[in-house]
Amino acid sequence: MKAANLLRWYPRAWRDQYGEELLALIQDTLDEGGPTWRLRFSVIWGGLRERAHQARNPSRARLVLVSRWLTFILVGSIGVLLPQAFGTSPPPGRAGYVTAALVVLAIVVAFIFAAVLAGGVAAVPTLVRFLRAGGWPKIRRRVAWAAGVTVPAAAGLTYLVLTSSSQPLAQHSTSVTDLVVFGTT
Amino acid sequence: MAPSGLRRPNDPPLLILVSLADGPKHGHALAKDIEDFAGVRLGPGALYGAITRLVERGLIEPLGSDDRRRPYRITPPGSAALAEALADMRRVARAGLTRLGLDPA
Repeated sequence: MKAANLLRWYPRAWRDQYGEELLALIQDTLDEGGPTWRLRFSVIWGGLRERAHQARNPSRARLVLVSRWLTFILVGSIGVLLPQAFGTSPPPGRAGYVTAALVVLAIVVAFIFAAVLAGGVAAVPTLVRFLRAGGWPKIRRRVAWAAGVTVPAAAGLTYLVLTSSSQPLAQHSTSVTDLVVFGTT
Repeated sequence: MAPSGLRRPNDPPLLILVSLADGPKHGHALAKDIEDFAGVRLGPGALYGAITRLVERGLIEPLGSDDRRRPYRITPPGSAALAEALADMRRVARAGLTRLGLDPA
């Protein structure tokens, strides 16, 4: 019996946190002898229960992350679409509204950015404890993946910065909003 | 039901807290200890399911370890929850034993 295959019954996040320990326990249990079907049933049943638990109880942190992500998408989409609805230049008498709307959007984005930043700072002590407890191997793949995503994102941001200065006023405002949303995200 | 979620004497979370009451243990040591003092054989799935819930509720916490066998220890809220649950059980057990005429108290 390949013990590692049994772990696939568990959610990935759970495996990242407890997988190695459970494998060690399975190995210890196998070394003692006894029926493997009972061990197999216990692990599979435990994995299914864990998946059911996570489906019923999405973590608060995950909900906050998703809600903030959706807010970014919503605010960013409005920031991009609003000026385009007026063409390259707002109609006479509407320029003030457009500018005010963009300022409000920028303030909302800045507020959310501050909230995300505060959450990150608050998580630093937990992250330090996790790393000091030997957690780096468990998050190494995700960190590498995030770094791989950040490179093209940074390239896109650089492109927007270089091209935004040569555009008309309305498009320039759009690009600034894009930059704020893109950079914050 | 107690706020800690502990109720039955053979409840895996309760058994784990009792086992950790005298010091940190890793998964295999927990399973052996529980089998010794309670006669309950917890499978790996049941054991780690209970450990996960207890960690989430802050009743136990993992200790740093270079080994794959990471030990856990009971936290102060875990000790308080265990004491409360055991006091509830003692009250119920005493009432039952007294009514059966088996308890001199």
